[in-house]
Amino acid sequence: MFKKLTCLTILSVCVISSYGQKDSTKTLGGGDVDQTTMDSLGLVNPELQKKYNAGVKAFTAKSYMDAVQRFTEVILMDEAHVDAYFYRGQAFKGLSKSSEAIADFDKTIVLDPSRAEAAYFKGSILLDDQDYENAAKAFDKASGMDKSSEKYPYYKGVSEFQMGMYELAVKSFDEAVKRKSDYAYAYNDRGSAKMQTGDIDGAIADYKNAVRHDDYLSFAYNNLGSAYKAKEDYKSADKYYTEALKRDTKYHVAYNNRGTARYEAGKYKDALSDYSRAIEINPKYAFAYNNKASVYIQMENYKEAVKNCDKALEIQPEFMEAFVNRGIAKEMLKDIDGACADWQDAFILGSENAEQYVNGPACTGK
Amino acid sequence: MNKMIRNILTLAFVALYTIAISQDKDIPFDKRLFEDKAGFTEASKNIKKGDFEFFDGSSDNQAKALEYYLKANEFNPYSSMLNFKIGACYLNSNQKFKSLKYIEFAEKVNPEVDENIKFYLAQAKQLDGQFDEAIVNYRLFKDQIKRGDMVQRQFINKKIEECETGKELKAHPTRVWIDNLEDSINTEFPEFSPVISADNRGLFFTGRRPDSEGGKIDKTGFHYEDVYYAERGFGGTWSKSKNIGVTINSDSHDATVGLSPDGKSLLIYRGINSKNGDIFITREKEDGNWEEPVSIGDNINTEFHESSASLSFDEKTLFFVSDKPDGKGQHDIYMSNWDEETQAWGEAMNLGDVINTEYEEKGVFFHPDNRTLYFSSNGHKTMGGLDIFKSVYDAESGDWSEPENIGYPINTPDDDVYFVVTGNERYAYYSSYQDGGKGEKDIYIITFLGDKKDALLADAGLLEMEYKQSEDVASNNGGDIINDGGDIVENINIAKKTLVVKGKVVDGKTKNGIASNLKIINTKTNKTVKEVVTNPDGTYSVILPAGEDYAFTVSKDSYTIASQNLKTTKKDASTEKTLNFELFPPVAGGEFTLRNIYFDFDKSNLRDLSVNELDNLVSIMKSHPTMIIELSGHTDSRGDETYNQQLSEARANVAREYLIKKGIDKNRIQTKGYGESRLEVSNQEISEMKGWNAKNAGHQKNRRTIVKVIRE
Repeated sequence: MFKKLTCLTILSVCVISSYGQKDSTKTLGGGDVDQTTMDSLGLVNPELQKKYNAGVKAFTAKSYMDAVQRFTEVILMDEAHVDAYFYRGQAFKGLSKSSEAIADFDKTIVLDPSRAEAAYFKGSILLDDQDYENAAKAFDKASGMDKSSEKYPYYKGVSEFQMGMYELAVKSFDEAVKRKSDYAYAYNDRGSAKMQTGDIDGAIADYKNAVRHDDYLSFAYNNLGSAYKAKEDYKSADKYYTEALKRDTKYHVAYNNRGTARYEAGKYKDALSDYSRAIEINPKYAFAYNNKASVYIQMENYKEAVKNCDKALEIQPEFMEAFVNRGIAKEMLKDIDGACADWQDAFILGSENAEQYVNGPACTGK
Repeated sequence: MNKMIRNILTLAFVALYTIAISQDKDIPFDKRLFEDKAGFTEASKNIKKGDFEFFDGSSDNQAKALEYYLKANEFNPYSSMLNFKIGACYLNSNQKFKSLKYIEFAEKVNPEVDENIKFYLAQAKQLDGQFDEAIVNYRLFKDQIKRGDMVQRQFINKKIEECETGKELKAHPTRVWIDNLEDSINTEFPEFSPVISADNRGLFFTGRRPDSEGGKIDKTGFHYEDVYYAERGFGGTWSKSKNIGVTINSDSHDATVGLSPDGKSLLIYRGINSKNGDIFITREKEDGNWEEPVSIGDNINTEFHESSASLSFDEKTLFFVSDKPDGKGQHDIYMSNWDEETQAWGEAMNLGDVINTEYEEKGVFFHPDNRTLYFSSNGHKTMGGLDIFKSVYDAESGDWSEPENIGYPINTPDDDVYFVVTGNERYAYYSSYQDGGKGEKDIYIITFLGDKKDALLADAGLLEMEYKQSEDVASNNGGDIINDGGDIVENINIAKKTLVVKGKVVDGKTKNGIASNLKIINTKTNKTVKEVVTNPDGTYSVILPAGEDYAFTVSKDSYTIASQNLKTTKKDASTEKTLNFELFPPVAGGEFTLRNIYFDFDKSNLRDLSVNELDNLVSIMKSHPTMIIELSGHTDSRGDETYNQQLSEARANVAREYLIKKGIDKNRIQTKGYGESRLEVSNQEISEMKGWNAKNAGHQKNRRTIVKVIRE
């Protein structure tokens, strides 16, 4: 899955916290006057303010249930209390109550059409729920409401990327880096979108910009490796995967990817070592087992290939490539029935190669 | 270290040094050099006897010479001359691979041992696959040849070319397994010339075993050649091979040369010597015995040597080998078409310059795909001796493709000949004398692994998952005329790629296999493409062009009929399909399904090709004059339910009308339409099927006519 989702979550918490801290300090004293009079006088009802502040305090302490209760009390007292809706929405979000949260953010926007953050939080909920189309709409709205923030077009781009609308995503990321020229994540993700459109050189330039602005982005280095691998420049790919691993020594995905670059370069022993390291870091990493099997097939060590495919399939029972590979290894061990059974499974999972093998002479010509 | 130990070690060193030296030194058979005078005398006698045979020249005699030489060699293994002679004998034997160590030693210790030693060494190196060293020695030998001796120089140039080809082929080996067939086929005696039925079930071969007919031994020391056979069960195991018996085997040489794809016509070679021999044909009778072999005819057999033959899948074309003088040189490949009028093979035609050369072309095999010709030649691009080549017929242009060497390790620098391929192109068989065999020549099975199957990587990048490109699938060509170097040869169905369809017909109650009549109609052309009687155990296998649709109908007296249809695509070429049938006696309450009653789409008009199945039903009803049946029509679930109901009723009535027209009393036929109410394959099952073809086949299964026996 995409690193950017993790990033989104981190940023969300960041923003929520800053709002909470900012508004919790907004306290006013007052006497016994009705809310309308107080509003007209620009004054705040102290009881309401007390409940509101209690809500903010609960929210800051991540006591979301309590926060919801306090903000609800505020809303009961003042049904046009924008902040109460806004923070209750965030508290609902903390409780994973998406529809309630979205309703509060919508209400916030109705009450305060300039509150871009509300549209942003709505978008973030939809993004987490994988409703990418509506997420993109919400982020677009936020972006229109606040033309200075880089994160709104950025997450719009993320949503579009997830929908497979890579060209639109590139445009959104363009807007994000226009708003913040050192936005490393946006460069990285624009690079990824460009990769999907086939613009590998553009992607490489973006990944390089990403690491120029943030040298610690191990995944951007990893992506650089993948971009060079796509260009069949395995030497450069190896170099950038290695850079990724320098920055994150437990980055099992980068080990796997570097192994793949080394495999393609014919360095089977080095590839094997990388896949083994990936497995050491993450023993449940089915990809590396499958890829290890691929190396063993190249080395004509078919028994080990079968063992590694077995492991991959134990972890991920519908792993199409592992079925194909195990079939290849079994065929070479002259277990034709076993090979055909594996290819049949791979075929059911959608492998075109396996379809050919199943219908080929090995399986039909016993 | 004390002195005694030092002396012992010194002596041991001297002894080892002496042995080492002696192995690099020529020790001629000089009486003065040997203390064992009796042993020397015995060895000398063996050399004399060997020389007597050796200088006679024939390969049979050289085999005898070798025995004597090897005995003498046990006494003194360091004679350059004796080693040279042993090597030379091996080069003329079917164990050529054993020659190298003797020739190499002879040349090493005495480069003057024979004026042609470089040539012998080059040959031995070539046979051992040491092509670079072979080339060096061929060149050294070429330097010895007089400038004017163009024949000899050309011959050496050809040998050098062979080595270059060998290097090229060995660098890109064909992906195959080559396995010795199990003990049930191979023995310590020679087994060779395998021929195989297209479905890989029936194997016939030539053996020289003690149980040969007549029990005679020829001058090679082996029994006369006889035909043997074995059957492969559905589990893949070969039965114990047996002598085919006196009908085919005589007390002279009887050898396998070809087999029709269905395994029912066997071509054999009968000859007194290697200069004169003819092709005979025998056919399997319904009871499993074989007819008396008969000469294949005067247009094929001549006073010259006809040594190999192969039939096309429809048995209308025969390819054969002859060394008659009108050819391109030595043995050539010819073809002949079956003449329906004269009921004989027509005039033989040389296959022309693309296939035949001034050198040898032998061991012809025409694949059941009806377009690929395999043969052995030492005139094309060979890596040494006879190599196996293939050439594909292009029906559109009428040309044979340039013969292609089928590659190493099937081909070797030695002679590779008599190679047959199963219908699905997965397996091939040939004979070879190899280390690790059961003894003498053995039969080997070659398993073609096809193009390398790429292992799939799972790329866990943030961006993508990568998959390898799928391999190309060969496409087919069509056409029906062959052009042989300018002569148009007619009536040959060399056209499309084929597939093998096999299966078994059983009694539905007992499940025992039964011989029955199988008729296959191409439903696109409405032509009968095959009518066969299944084997006594009910099994059958047929070769059919891929890309056509077929209706299979099985019938037998005292049984109802069974039918199935088979849609094929060009992608099915070289694959195998299995269609099994169950036949039931016509008892009251029983029912059977007619799957090949065809109507125009959405209509109740009976299509012509339905006639076969309905005619079968007519004949069953005529042979059971009291039988009353119900004909019920069933549709698939596509379309409106009411409409399908009406359509099924109309269709059942149309079938009834046909039976009445054919003389069946109308009171004996009741009809019913079930529409889509009794689907054989449910909509749920069809929806879960993968791909349009599978779904369509599911719907096809639902469209059927069921015959229910109301009264016997």
